Amino acid sequence: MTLLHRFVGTATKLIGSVVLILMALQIVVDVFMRNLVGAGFPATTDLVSKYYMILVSFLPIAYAELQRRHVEASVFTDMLPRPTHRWIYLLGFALSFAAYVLLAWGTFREAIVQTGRGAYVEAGALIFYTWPGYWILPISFALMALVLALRLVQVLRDEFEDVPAEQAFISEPPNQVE
Amino acid sequence: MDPMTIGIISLVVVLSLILLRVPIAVSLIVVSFVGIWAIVGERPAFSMLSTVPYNFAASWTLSSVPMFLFMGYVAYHSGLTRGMFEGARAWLGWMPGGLAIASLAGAGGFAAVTGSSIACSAAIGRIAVPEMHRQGYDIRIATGSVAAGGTIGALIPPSILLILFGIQAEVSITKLFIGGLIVGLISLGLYVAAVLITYLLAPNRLPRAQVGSWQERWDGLREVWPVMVMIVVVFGGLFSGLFTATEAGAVGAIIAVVVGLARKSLTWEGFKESAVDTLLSSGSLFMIAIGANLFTRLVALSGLSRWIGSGIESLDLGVLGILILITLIYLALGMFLEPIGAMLLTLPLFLPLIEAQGVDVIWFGILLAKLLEIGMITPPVGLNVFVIHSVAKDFVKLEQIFAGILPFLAADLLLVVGMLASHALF
Repeated sequence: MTLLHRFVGTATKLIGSVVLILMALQIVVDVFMRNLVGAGFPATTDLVSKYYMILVSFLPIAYAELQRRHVEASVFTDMLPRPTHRWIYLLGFALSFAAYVLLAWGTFREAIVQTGRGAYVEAGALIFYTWPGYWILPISFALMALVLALRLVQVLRDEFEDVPAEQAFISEPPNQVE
Repeated sequence: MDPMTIGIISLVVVLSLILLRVPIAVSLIVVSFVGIWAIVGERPAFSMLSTVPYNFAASWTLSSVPMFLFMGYVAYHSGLTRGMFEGARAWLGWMPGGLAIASLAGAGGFAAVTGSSIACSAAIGRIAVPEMHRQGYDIRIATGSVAAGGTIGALIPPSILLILFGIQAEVSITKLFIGGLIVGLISLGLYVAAVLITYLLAPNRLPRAQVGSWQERWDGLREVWPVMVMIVVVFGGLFSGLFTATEAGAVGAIIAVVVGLARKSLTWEGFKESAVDTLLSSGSLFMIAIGANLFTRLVALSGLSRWIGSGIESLDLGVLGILILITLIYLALGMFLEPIGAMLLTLPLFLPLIEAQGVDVIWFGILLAKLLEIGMITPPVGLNVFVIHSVAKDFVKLEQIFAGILPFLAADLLLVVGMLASHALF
């Protein structure tokens, strides 16, 4: 688990941060070029929606589970006696596992279809291939399914410990300047 | 089984799973998949599951969400909030309950760079609550004002809640932002009034702070300018039509990074934290939105929204009656669920009814945002209250914060009544 945690964490932070900053920069450059030169940066809309957005949306899912940031309502289950919690977690992780395996399988088949078709969009005179982007989904979902499988093992072995609810929304305090 | 029965069972199962702590996204995805399968068969169900995630996420409009989140988190991690609070204190500290008012003003200012209620109260709370505690403020008012002030974060643009509403309801995000700005500012005014009334009733609960010197005031302005620049450029550009929402978010994010670097307050650590917070929030939000997208299809296929619509219409309540009923439902939902999840889950059910009644969808979106944000400060699940508690747990109990919320809750309810009344009148 720790090894997977570190791997997923590093990959998400690295790729995710680069994509975020690239996305922001490219959009800003595009706005300036459009207003000053009259023509935007080539294929910005396509690159943003077909690649950056797909990465930003799906890549962090597995890491979000590792950090327990997926949104759950714990208000009722918190009132249940302690021994039931294990079953609650088991239900949540088992259903999540099923959902992400299905998603991984479905989007994998979709990626094969799009790759076979050589999916592209026309961006002005440019042919802009979109099929590689489809592969981001099955990879991200499969990674999530793997994390959930390990969570199931943790719960079954009674090794799972959750984080308190208020930490589930925002990371460490900001570095305040005194 | 007929589609309607499947629809009703699905709704009951979704709600039960959410109450059993299954992640909201997973509850929606699993139930929608099974429900669609039961109504139209395996192939369409599987095909929707395979294509909806990509088609939903590969969107230019949606990309404003990570951009605005990024802008907000960078501002948060580079400590721009402290400047907002210090600036507001130098100018407003002389007023009765001045520190509470300065916290509210700081929250209002920070709301313009962040789209999240929790980030807004966490950021201001961390600075303002210990300060008010030191000055001998009644801890209930000190914490209550900050928790309530945070809710303005989701009203004053940018607002993640309103962007997702705009995408799901297919209405203009810019118009939603203008409406959110108006209602956010009115909320701020009413919260300040709540502080002043508290002062009149019990002056010793809010001791007067010392008056800031002019030197402090000018220094305060210097602290506030970076945020002012961001607000002017981002929203000036957005409202004048120079950029789209996505572009405004990207410009804001870059300005936040540049300002943070120029003030030397954005560290490498802070930058990484901002990126990670943005990614984790986007990922978890979008999965819920994808679940909601699938659920919308199930609701449409089963005729569930027609059923709920005609059920409510048969009560013969009139438009105002329906709006009051929906208001009560959302106030109740908000007590237990996190706002964005609650909104995405319920919009497929109520939006068709709202449109059929001829209610303005933009207005409804703002009302919804206000109602769900009230849920952020009401027990038992008041996320803003939890966050404030986590930053100040050494000297305040959870119950005390909930008690401190009361004047602000009264202000909020007054505003909701006002919104409903104005809808009935105009």
